[in-house]
Amino acid sequence: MTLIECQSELDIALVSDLRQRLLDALQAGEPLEIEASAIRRAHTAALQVFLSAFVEARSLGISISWRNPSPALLEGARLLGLVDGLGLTDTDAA
Amino acid sequence: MAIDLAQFIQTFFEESFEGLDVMEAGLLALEPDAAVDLEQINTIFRAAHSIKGGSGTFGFKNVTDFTHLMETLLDKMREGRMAISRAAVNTLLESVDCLREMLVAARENAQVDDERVQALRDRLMQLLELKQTAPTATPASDEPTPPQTLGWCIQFQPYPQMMHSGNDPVRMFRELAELGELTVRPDVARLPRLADLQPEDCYLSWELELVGLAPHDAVAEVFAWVEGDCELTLTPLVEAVTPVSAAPPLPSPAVRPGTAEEGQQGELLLERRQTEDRRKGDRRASAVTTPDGGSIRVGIDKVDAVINLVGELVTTQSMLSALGEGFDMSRLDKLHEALDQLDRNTRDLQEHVMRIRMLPVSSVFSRFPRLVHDMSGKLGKEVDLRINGEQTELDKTVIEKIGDPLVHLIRNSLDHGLEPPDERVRAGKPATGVISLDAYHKSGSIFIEVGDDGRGLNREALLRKGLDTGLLKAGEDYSDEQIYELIFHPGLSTAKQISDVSGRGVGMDVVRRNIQDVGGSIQITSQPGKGARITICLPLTLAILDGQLVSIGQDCYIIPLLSVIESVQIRADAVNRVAGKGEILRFRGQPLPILRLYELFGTEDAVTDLEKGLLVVVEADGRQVGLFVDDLEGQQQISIKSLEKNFRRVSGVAGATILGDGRVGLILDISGLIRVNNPVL
Repeated sequence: MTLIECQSELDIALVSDLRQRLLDALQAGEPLEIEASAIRRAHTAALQVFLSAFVEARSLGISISWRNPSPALLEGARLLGLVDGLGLTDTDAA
Repeated sequence: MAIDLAQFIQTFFEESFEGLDVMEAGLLALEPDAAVDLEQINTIFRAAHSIKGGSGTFGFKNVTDFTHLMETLLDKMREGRMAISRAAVNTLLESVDCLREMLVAARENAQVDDERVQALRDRLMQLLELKQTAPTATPASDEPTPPQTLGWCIQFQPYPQMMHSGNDPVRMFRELAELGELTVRPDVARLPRLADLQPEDCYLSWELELVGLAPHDAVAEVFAWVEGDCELTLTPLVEAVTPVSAAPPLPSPAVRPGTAEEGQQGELLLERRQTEDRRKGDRRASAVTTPDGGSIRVGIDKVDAVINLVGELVTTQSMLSALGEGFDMSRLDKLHEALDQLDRNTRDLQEHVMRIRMLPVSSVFSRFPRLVHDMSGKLGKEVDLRINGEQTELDKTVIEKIGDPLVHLIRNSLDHGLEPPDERVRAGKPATGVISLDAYHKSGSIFIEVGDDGRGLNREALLRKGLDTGLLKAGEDYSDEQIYELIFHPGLSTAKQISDVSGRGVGMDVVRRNIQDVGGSIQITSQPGKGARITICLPLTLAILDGQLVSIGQDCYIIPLLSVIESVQIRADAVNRVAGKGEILRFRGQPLPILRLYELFGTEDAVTDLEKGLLVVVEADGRQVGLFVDDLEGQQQISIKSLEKNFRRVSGVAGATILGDGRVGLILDISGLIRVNNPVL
């Protein structure tokens, strides 16, 4: 299993790095967990990268899930209408 | 002093009626179903555009909106996206008549025939396919049923680069969610595989449904910063719309791709004070809540300082209590001393509590190096961004509000201010341009300056435009400042020609309004060929100010002490009445306009004889005026209460406060007063 830990500020400037880590993880082909308790702010660009990763993982049959999604992550996903796409539910609050 | 504005309005009406004649003649000369006569349509379009701009400036919203529809139709014809049918020409001709009536009504403060306007609006919208012909309803039906807007359907399709300049849909939608009940439907069809995804491009688009009474302007404002970076369509949800939760998604027959014109209208409409609309708007609790939007991280040293001060306050309080027991006049000195100490403690405490809300501006500045890097790459320009003073602290609320305006200013500097390298070299400058961003503290305010060493503003183009639109009068001498000030004018700032020629202007009115909303002011200086510099002056805090109390009749007003230069008694014979400019005092070798506050506020029982009252000389935005008041009452710290929240926005008034004796005092907005009553002197 691969675990990706998220920083507190998922700013647009950090998204390239995040994308690379997700790409590497998906290429490893192992189940992927994203530790999200630290996220205090998530930019749309970050959520978009996560979404692409989720879509891809599903198509490759790789299990992908969140660990402790923070309220800020949930809020961002809700505002953009991406709760389902990101495999979150409204009761996920950490 | 309102004479100047009145003259402009007069000029606006005169020019608008001329414009209508031009439109009429042009429309009559159009031959339906023939080849597009581009020049003819352009002439009509320009006339409509001037009327729209002018009416926006003077706040005739109905005229602006109506002309906008006509303009959009003309634009479609011009671009060949719509045939010049006889029906369309006829509708436009009738619209010209209707517009003439609206302008006459506006000039004479008379009533407009709303039904006729609405009927024509409907016909224009049908032509524009903004509104489908409702099979059951007849247009301009006998029973007037004003459409009840229950909310907005928003088609929002960002262009890929939208997020490069700091825009974040999460933040925008959060603002929307505050306006009503928001339902979000994303379209992820364009999202590429992770390997192909450019992480900073936006691939998503959204259909949003905002149920609530939020006015168009409030919704449009959320998108004010992405104009030109997205396609946006706002369609009102009208009538018989059941709440979203209980109904399947609304079909949106009226949806069509947005146009640049819509963006312009959005901006023009934004010019209107939205606050009043917002007040009316439904601000019910939103479906989405912000988990930690209201918190702030504070250094422990700041908290310790406050605790120390509270300790001192307690000491002073016990000292006073001790004095109070068995007090006699021999201890009066001690009492004074203790009261002075209390005063000091209170001020210190207040200052330190305020400091808790302060954050370094670096939290805003930190996003600019990236912005400049990305944009300069795209524009093929070499830019050196120099940031100074990023540790300067500002109130958290102010920090949050200045981010977008600063992005806008820096984009302007980069895009339009700085020349391409070859042009710079030809002009004898280094190929690499400099954009500087400075923050500093000066005399109780925070200043932020955005400067560049580019080509500077095009004074001639602005002057010409100012004369064309009637904002300036031919034959008058205008200082550079007065001319540069025009870029903040909503009527001008939306005009594309200006931004193309001068390189600045789009959205500058929005920038200024954002700065003013936090009690700040903005000024521009420019040297041709050497660059432009925009200086933003912001208050340290939004909650308290040092004020000079003045009396006018029975009322008390507060002038922010920072604006006051001096107070003088004047001799009536030193005052001249200048045609069109009101009263002018020759003061220290300079002409100083006088504003009689009792006239502005309609105060009764006030001193009207200039020699019996006092003139308080104040300065804002680099201009001075003398405010004529009855008397000075003293200085004190004023806790600012919002007039907007408790009453409504009043021009020239920044807020209100409750005075020691229980009276309500209005706090004057000096730069607003000068702007409204003395626009060009």
